[in-house]
Formats: sequence, C-alpha cells, structure tokens
Amino acid sequence: MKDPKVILLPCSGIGSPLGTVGRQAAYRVVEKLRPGKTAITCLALLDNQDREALQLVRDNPCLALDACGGKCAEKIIKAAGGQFRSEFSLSEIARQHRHLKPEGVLELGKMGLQLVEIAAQTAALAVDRLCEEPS
Amino acid sequence: MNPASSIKIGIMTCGGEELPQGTLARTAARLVLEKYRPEHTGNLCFPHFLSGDEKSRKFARENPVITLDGCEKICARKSALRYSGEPASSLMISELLKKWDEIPCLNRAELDERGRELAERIALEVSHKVDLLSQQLNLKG
Repeated sequence: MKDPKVILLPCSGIGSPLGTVGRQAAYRVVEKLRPGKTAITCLALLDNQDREALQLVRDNPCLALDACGGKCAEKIIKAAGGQFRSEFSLSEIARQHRHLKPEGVLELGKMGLQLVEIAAQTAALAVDRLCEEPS
Repeated sequence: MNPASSIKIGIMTCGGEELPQGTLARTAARLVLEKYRPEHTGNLCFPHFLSGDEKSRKFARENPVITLDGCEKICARKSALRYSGEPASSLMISELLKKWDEIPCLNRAELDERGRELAERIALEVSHKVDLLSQQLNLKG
C-alpha cells in the first residue's frame, strides 16, 4: 500500500453541536496533530460513488466521528466497502465528559472547544495505534 | 401531500467536510434555520438521509427541498434526486462565489471574518429561495 493514511470521516450533520465537535476535532487531527498520516473525505462523495473517495476508504483504515446514535458515518463507510475501524468513538468521549456541554452548532463555546481538544487528542492516539499495525 | 400549514421547506446541505465550501454551506444553512427563516424551514439531516433513514427521506418526499452544495460535484442535489425526487430549488456555492467575484475561503476548520460574511450572504440567498417557495405554497410567516 502506497502512502498509508488513516481516513477520518466526521458526521456532516448540522442538527447537533456534537457534529461540529467531530468536524473540528477531525480538522485538528489532520491539520495540526497528525498531518501527513491522516486525511478527511466527504461522506456524501462515498454515497455518490466518487471513485477517488471510494478508493481512499477501501485502501486505508477509517475512523468515524459520529455525533449521534444514527452512526451515519459508520454506516456509509461500511456501505462503501471501506475499512471501518472502531478504535474511536466520539459519543463515548462525550459521555465520559458530560460536563463539557457545547453551546450551539455554530458556536461551540469554551466547553465545546475543550471537548474538541479531548476528542482530537484521543483520535490522534487511535491514529498512532492504527499506523503501528503491520500492513 | 401535507396541508400548507404543516409544510416546512427542507434545507439539505452538502456535508463538504473536505472543503472550505462545505463549511460555508453548513454555516449558511444553519443561519437560515436559526436566524433568518426558522418559521418556514426544517433541517434535513444529510448524513441521516444518505444512510437510509426513512423519516428523513419521507420528509424530503413530502416537503419542498432546497439543496445547498459546496462544489460542482453537487452531492446534495444528486442524493435528493436519487432518494426523494427533484429538489424545489438548488444552489451551488462555487457558482455563487464566481458570480460575486469572490475567491473561495482557504480555511475549512474555521471561517474567518470574510468567511463569516460570505456565509451570511449565502444564507440570504437561500432565504430568498425560501421566500419564493413560501409565496408559491402560500405559507403564512
């Protein structure tokens, strides 16, 4: 496998602040914490059979950053034949840090941003574990 | 068909997690839902819709839908066509930016001041579409 990466797929919903937390955490991992080892692709591209996006999730381990029990990112990765990995759960992190309540979808506020940081750090560690696995 | 009083216009925005235009789309859609036209619009959760949630797809079949796409791949419009039918109206952010002679934002994680201004402007475009549809459907505001 050439240039292996871990693909992060955050929920794209705008109905819940946790969706924003997931996207912000994913951007933090890809741009700041683990650049070069990670990438993001759009869930909608997978459903629309975009060749490049499909190849990316089929060739690389994928972490879903789902914001609710619908687990849409997980379902869409699986439906696309992608390598879904369960090493990371955003809802589990939110459950463990119930006191950190984001203010809203557009503005997360101080506590929401703290939750982003925790989620990003946890996801980065999951990326490290996946990268250490023999290919 | 729903009676006019119970009709909501569904706003379906591309997730666009990969691109800054996606962040613009989500922000603008949320502004329409929260700030500009909350009385006439409803959020159509795009990932739910994509992953087969029947409640979302039924809502989209029974209510007019405005799709808001970030890029020329128009995933929201294509998905609406596939799962619920022709959207009542469709907007594409890359086209709007071209029309306004604006360059795309660079930061997908967080919109800067210019990005926030663009999101407001896009939200007003969507709101205009909502108004036109509301008039056609005789929705009371």
